Amino acid sequence: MRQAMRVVAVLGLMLLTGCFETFSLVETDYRPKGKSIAVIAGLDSEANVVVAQRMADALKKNTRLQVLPHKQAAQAIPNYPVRIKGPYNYAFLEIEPEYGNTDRKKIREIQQKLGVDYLYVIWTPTATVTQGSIHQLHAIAQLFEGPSAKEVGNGKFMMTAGRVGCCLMPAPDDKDKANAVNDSCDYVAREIGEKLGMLKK
Amino acid sequence: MFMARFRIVIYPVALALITAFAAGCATNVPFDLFQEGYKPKGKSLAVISGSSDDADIRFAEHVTKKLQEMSTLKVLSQQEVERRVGKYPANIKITEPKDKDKPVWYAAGEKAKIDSLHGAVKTDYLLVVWVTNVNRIVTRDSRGGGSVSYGAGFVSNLVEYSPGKAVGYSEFGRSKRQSCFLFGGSEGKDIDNLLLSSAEDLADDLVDRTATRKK
Repeated sequence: MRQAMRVVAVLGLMLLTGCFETFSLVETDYRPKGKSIAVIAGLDSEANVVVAQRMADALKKNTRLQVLPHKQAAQAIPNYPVRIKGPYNYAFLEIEPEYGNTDRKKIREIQQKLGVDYLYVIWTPTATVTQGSIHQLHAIAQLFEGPSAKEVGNGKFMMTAGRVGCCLMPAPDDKDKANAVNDSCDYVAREIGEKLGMLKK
Repeated sequence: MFMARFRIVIYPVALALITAFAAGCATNVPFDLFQEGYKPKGKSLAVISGSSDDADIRFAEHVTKKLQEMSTLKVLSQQEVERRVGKYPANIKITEPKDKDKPVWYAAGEKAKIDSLHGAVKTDYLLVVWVTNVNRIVTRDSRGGGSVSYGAGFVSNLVEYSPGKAVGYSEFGRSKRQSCFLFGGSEGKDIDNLLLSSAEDLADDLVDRTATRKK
């Protein structure tokens, strides 16, 4: 029974995050340099800003990183949220990553304004609906280090609300979607904390 | 919260509907004017992406390039639009139009955003474009075979300045089969080709209706 529960839990989490590498380090033997971090949205859509806010909260809750409050980061960046060219070629039904595509000049400018050790930038360029009842917001993110904005980590994930079932299954409401964002952000924040050796015990 | 609009992954249950739309049983207007015989007075135009969604941005780029190729109107590049506007795209919300024959797609409260964009770009016309949904259609036959197609819906409004009034619109859908040998290749590129050919259809009709085709 416990084994079956575990399988269900793993399957649920895979559905939640989209079976992707939600966060991985560019160099596997990377050692963190500093503790302060800010999270910003890479696009100016409302959903992207909400995800950035929730990710900042999730990092604070789950890691020992010193997270700059999202409101404070937003105030420090002129005209925030701003659209930053993101790490993908296409983002229609799925995000096709191309981490070299990011506008690094803009990232460096923002990093220097914020003055934090790390900048985690998250883009949510597309959302999909499958069979009417599974709503997914697709996200891709990069972690940059220091004033030169060296890329030290990246990842891709989905925030999934809704259930697979018969065609009468109701579409998820705003609360379901907010829960999906919160759960996914918590999961990814823990991944980041673990890989940087900053996970809260 | 996720979205005002979204992309759809569709299985056979919705195939008939999508096929009917793409085949033209539903509205199929790449571009038309509200008033027959209308003669455009302006000479310059800017294509505006309706949101920061990747599909809208790319469609705006394609329509811009096609109009630059085909029209005598002075069409601003997307880089120039971005330079003049600063904060672009502007995420203009779409709504179900009240008048189905003369559809105005932007929500009532969004006109101020469009006027503000015009204040920055200062062209005689703004063509605001949205991709209403991109979808993947998977069909399976009884022998275990099947196919994959992509579909998309497009809407637009041509807004004339001054006084800032919608004078034309688009409402159409297109679909294409997945390219052969796509396995391992980019699905995004395949969908982008669908956006490109749809942009060409829109531009082709627009230069006809406004009598601005290059000789």
